[in-house]
Amino acid sequence: MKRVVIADDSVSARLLLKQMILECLPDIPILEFKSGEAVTKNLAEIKDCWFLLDMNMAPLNGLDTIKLLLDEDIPPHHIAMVTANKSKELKNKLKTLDILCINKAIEPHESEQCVAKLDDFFKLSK
Amino acid sequence: MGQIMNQSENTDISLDFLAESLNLGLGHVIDELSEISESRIELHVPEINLIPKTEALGFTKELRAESKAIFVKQQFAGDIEGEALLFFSEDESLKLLNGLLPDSDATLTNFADVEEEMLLDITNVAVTGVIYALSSILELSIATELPKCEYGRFDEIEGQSNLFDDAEEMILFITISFTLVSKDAKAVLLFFQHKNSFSKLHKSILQKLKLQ
Repeated sequence: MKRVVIADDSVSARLLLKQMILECLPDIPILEFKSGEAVTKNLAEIKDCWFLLDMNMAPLNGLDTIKLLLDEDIPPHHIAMVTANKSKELKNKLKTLDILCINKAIEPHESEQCVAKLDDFFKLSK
Repeated sequence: MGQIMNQSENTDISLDFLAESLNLGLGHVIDELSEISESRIELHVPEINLIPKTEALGFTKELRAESKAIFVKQQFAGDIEGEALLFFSEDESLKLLNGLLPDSDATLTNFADVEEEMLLDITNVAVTGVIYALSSILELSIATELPKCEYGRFDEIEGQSNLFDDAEEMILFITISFTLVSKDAKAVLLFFQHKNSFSKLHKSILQKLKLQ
């Protein structure tokens, strides 16, 4: 069975993201990491997973982690960034890498949009 | 979906949730400041602690050595209440203000009304952004008052302010810093919140995370 990897330095952000993932895929196993480095160190065991990565975490932020995952031949459509960062600069970099960007929710209606985007991501990258 | 956690873990997760909410709120603010300054802005992970007020005010030691300081205070009230402070030395504030001005504008050398207005705007944007994120995520009603700016010798400001009342009280102390990369300027925003108000916030956070 496919699994989801989430990497975020905030435990509460991981909790909220897990709740949203389980709305899309109620039985999916979820693996949690606190940094990009922790993801890359365990890559041999998690290569076939979906990856949802935060931007601001250390060591190894989300963007640098994505570049390493792509270097390891993880398909870009198996990776998404879930971030509060709405800058055009980051969006352009992700677009160049063909990586989906999902903004973290503030308003309740944004939570629904976030779940819908996650649902599309999982369906389209099956 | 509820999970059993002890008091200390619950407090830690509340503080973590606050840091994450502040990041979300400031994400919006930093976009606005980036546009004004035409400079890339780096947000540093907020530091959040429950500590005695006297300890929180330890940061003022450096400011005491400065000849003058700028001190912008903004209160918020509603389901939770507290106060936010933007606090810097005169040199640091001028560096920040010069950083926030487009390159074509004249360099500032003195703190004057126009700079005071800009600092009030910065504080208002930052505090409003943070309060917007907190109130939206937790579905709380919180209103911000207009910020007030004071400028002068630190000891004089301290004497006029009620910031230092009840100095032994435990408070929620939040420090947020951001850097305008090309201008080498750094601003620090502090949030103070009384412990009884934090209890209400703590309860809302645990409900949001389905831990209660």
